Amino acid sequence: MARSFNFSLDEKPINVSLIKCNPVLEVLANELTVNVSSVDQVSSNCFTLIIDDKKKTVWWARDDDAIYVRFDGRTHTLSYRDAISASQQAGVSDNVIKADMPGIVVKTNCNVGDSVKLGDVLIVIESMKMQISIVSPRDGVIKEVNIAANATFEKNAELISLEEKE
Amino acid sequence: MFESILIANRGEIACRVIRTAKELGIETIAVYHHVDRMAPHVKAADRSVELFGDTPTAAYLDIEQIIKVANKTKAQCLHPGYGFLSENAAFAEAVEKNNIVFVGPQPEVIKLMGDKIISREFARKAGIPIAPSVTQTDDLSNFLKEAEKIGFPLLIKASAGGGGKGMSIVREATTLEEQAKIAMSEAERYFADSRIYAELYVENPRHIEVQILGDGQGNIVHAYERECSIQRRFQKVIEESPAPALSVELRDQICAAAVDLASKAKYLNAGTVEFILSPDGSFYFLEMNTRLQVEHPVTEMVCSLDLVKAQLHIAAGKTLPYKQSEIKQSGHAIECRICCEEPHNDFRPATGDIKILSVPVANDIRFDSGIVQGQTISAAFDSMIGKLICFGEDRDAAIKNAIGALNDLVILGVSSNIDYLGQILKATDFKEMIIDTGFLEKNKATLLLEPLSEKDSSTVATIAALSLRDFKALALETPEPYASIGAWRNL
Repeated sequence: MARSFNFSLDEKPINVSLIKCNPVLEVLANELTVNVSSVDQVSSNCFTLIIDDKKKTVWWARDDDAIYVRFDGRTHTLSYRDAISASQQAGVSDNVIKADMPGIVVKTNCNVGDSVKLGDVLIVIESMKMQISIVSPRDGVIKEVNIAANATFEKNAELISLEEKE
Repeated sequence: MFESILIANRGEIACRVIRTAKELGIETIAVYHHVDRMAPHVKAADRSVELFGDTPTAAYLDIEQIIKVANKTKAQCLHPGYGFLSENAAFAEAVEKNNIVFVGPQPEVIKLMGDKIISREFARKAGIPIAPSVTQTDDLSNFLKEAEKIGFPLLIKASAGGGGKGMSIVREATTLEEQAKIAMSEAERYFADSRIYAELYVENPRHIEVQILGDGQGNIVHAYERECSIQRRFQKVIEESPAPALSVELRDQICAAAVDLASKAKYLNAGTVEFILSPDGSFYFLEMNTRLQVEHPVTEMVCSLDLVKAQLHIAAGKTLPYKQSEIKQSGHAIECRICCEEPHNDFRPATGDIKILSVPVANDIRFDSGIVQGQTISAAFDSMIGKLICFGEDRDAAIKNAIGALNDLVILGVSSNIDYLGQILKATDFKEMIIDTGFLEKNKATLLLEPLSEKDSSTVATIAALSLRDFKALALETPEPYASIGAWRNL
């Protein structure tokens, strides 16, 4: 059984496995066969491939579980599922609202104990001179508010947590 | 000419000014906040001095500190770039008080043009067309009444505003009061000045601006127009020169109005007069920007000028470096603003590390940027990290060149609008010059990238797999066939 490498691309899972190496690399990606007959390094992260008999210049870079690929004039961001730890995957919950990006809090609209509905604006943040409203992902009660107006925060900071209604 | 210049800015515009100053043999002094200590503008300058502040932005806005650095380094002149303190009259005044030449207009002209209400009144008196409008005084209810008389849609703006802050379009009387109040609070928040005004909103307007140079005595030359209608959130995305589908007569009228206004203001140095052009051919004064514009390179390309050089000459000697008859438009130039953002996610700004940067190089392509590979794009500054400016003998050639250049511009590691810009240039309406400030909204569906085919998804995932050490190791476990394809020659 060939080892499978699991990615997601545009929010769809895609599994890649190496079928054979002779006379060319034969790869099965989501049931479709892709043949790679040459991998030539041009510069640190730039390669010329002969892929399905076509010569293509591609770029790639990796950042933790993210793999960036430039192919045919488009940039793709894949997530390499195998690199995401089990705890992280398990931690995907809508009880904790995390920051997608670093920024500063403009104002908070909620207090501990408030009942909130799906879509309610909980806080307004500013990042790169843009104001963004953070809305509640579901109905619930505010359990913790970890930030105050004018506070700065980093990416992935836990801003607010929710709990179930009594 | 000056012996030394301090550049009170960062990013691509600081690099741009340093380039010309070096060509002229002027010693360049950069300033930087700690987060920018490895930035290209710091490396490019002959000397650099660290600024301190509660936030990175605060450091670049600290007048007292920057003046202190300029005095200490004995800078003879100071270039403010754009943004930050470039249109701050108090800053220009402080610079001059310290016997340092401010590369820009007189402080009183900055003040005049910086206030939207006062500058409109100035333009009206100068005989420049302005859109019907009403200014908010103390009495809000009176303002609302007068605003309603102009009719809808109305555009509400902050008097001290810029960058789209405090701006909104009101289409119905019922929402006027609410939107006016929101605009006032935004204006207070961003500009510490809650005054607003309302003007007739021209439907499907184009945004045309004129580059001018003045000697401070009333002598003005223009370097023709730029089309800046492709905007998102009132911010320009793509600019070009000449403006497409603009008759020579109308272009000349608009340029003449700009020269007239600048002349009456006895404008000194480089500036830009912005106009709104209605589909019926009428045009209205919008505002004057008293600094070098982000999009100045398209003018430099089609007029074969160096506007920073012109700025420094004027600042040094008070004579205009060009006669009007010497400034000629030739060919076509398009600028694409490269921003770290997610265009299809409401242009949400993106942060991250630039893992890979590869830039196309050619005579008719210019990449003005303040980034290098390995740099971190933080949320501290604007999301614009560079500009790709492409030339062609005519508009079609410039578009073709720009599409190719965008294709060859690679930024990996942080989301950018590169592919989105390519979609704009490929859009039928763009090619056919059906352009106004609503372009991006109207063409939203066209600008979406086609979803990847199953086959392309598989190819992209295969490429991603090739980048993995584990995948390579697996392939190399069976050495015989692997060697036969000669793959991974240089890995």
